[in-house]
Amino acid sequence: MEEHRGLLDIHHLSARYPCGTAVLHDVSLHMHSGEIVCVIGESGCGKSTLLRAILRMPGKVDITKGQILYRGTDLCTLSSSRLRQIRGAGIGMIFQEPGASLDPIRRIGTQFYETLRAHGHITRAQAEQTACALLLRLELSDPQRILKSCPVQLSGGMNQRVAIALAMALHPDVLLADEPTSALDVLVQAQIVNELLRLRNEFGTGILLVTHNMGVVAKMADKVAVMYGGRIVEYGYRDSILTTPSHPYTKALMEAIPRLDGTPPRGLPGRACRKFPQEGCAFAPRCPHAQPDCLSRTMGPIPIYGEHWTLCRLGGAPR
Amino acid sequence: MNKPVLTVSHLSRTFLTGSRPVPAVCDVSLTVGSRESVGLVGESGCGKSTLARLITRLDSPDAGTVTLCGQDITRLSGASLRRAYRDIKMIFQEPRASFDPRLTLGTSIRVALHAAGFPRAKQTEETAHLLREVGLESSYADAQPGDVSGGECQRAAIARAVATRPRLLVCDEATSALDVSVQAQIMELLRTLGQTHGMSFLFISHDLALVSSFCTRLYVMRGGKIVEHGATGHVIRAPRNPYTRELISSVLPVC
Repeated sequence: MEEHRGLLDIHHLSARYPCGTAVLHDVSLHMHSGEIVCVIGESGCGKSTLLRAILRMPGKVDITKGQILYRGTDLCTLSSSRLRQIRGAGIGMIFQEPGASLDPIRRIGTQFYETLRAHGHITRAQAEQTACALLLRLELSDPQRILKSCPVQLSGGMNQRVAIALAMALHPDVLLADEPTSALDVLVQAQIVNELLRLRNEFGTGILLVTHNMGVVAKMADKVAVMYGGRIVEYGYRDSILTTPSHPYTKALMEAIPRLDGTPPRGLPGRACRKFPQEGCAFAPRCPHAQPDCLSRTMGPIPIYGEHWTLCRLGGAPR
Repeated sequence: MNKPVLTVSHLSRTFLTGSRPVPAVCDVSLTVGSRESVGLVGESGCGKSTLARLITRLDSPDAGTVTLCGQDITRLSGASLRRAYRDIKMIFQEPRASFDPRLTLGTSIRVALHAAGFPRAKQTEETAHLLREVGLESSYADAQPGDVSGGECQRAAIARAVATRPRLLVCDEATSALDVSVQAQIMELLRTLGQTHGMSFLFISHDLALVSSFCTRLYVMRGGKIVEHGATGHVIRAPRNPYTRELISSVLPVC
């Protein structure tokens, strides 16, 4: 799986927190232009850390092994000034809490201008024009009023659309989105999902989306990466993951989803994984099919069909 | 239908923001039967939480009545209101925010037992029993809200809520802050507790799929009014109100 040469290629990435706790183990992920890859998994499994590691947020995570190739350039070895040019212009990011990623008491217009100024020469009038066009495209009526407002004066859904517009202002090739819809209402959520899809279709932006909403995955994803205990435990095309999940954790996750037909969600027994072991399967303590040597074996992807693979030996085998 | 645990009739509440009156709840009537789980759905700002606060008497209505187990609790105060509080309990969206961060979970549960007049000598034992009932080890009594995960904290909040064996549990977006697998665990716990103790639920959420898997009847709220109600399956299969249709179509199907 090494020969991929895409927009964003992550090879065998391992990372730990500055305090020394290992958090990502051997994560590999590949994304092409215009592709949407969704990362799913429970809280604390390392999903958000993966996004932070890609942008190399200083002080958050230390990369211990592996490569993050953005158009062939390894972000892990890049100087911080080069990295600053790529952040925003090459790789944009939107966060879960729209209010938290914007300055609450400064006007949206000023924040647009600053972002655009940081990556090129632009006048205030040009910035305003760009911002208006983007906000209109995101179906925010009266963009002039929004540019004059501060984030505290806007609703959560409007702020999230502003944050998306801000991330898209520099036309990044890659958009990292950390649960962009989970703080929002169902109706607004459906709008944001449609807007992200449109951005992909219009600009060919590759989107790496962290979410725990399987409805969003079903609607948006091309490929799905299921994470548990700091590893990707199953990876493949959306339809094969959603219809024929193979890893016991993915199966449990699918059963936990509430559905409109009234099927009661089934909980996964046991507590979320806190320690991310170097060796062996992190899910084994909660796994109904665990065998004694699951805790000690070396983990490696086991192909199922095409690009679909799993870390579990019981993979493909019927229950 | 069996004798209702909760009857809300013509409840209204208007807030004054600046000089403009904002009607948050207008003329809402609903019932929850004995051992029944009833859902209340609607988007943010539709008045769901205000209604919950009126029902649990955390706020007082401008008009209308709340009848709990045959007793009108709308105008109660003091000792009689505290007595009524034993029968109705609420769990909130943010489990951590619903606990005093300086107290241990055990102390918070003991306070609830104490307020209900539970004998002091048995409080510690009962606290451990309640924690086990919600799937936590009794050692969690010594933990502070900040030490445990969101799901564990919500379990402790449920333990505190069921401490007085209430007849009705009002859940206001009780699982919205949790991820799907923890959410499913909490829903299973609520279902089990409901069956063991014969509790009724008023389950408030914006997640229509979640509500439909838990509740037998459903109320749809918009702009402070109930716009549609009926049996869950019926409302979801054949919604009559355009707003309900919009709400249903915004649920993204999984496959």
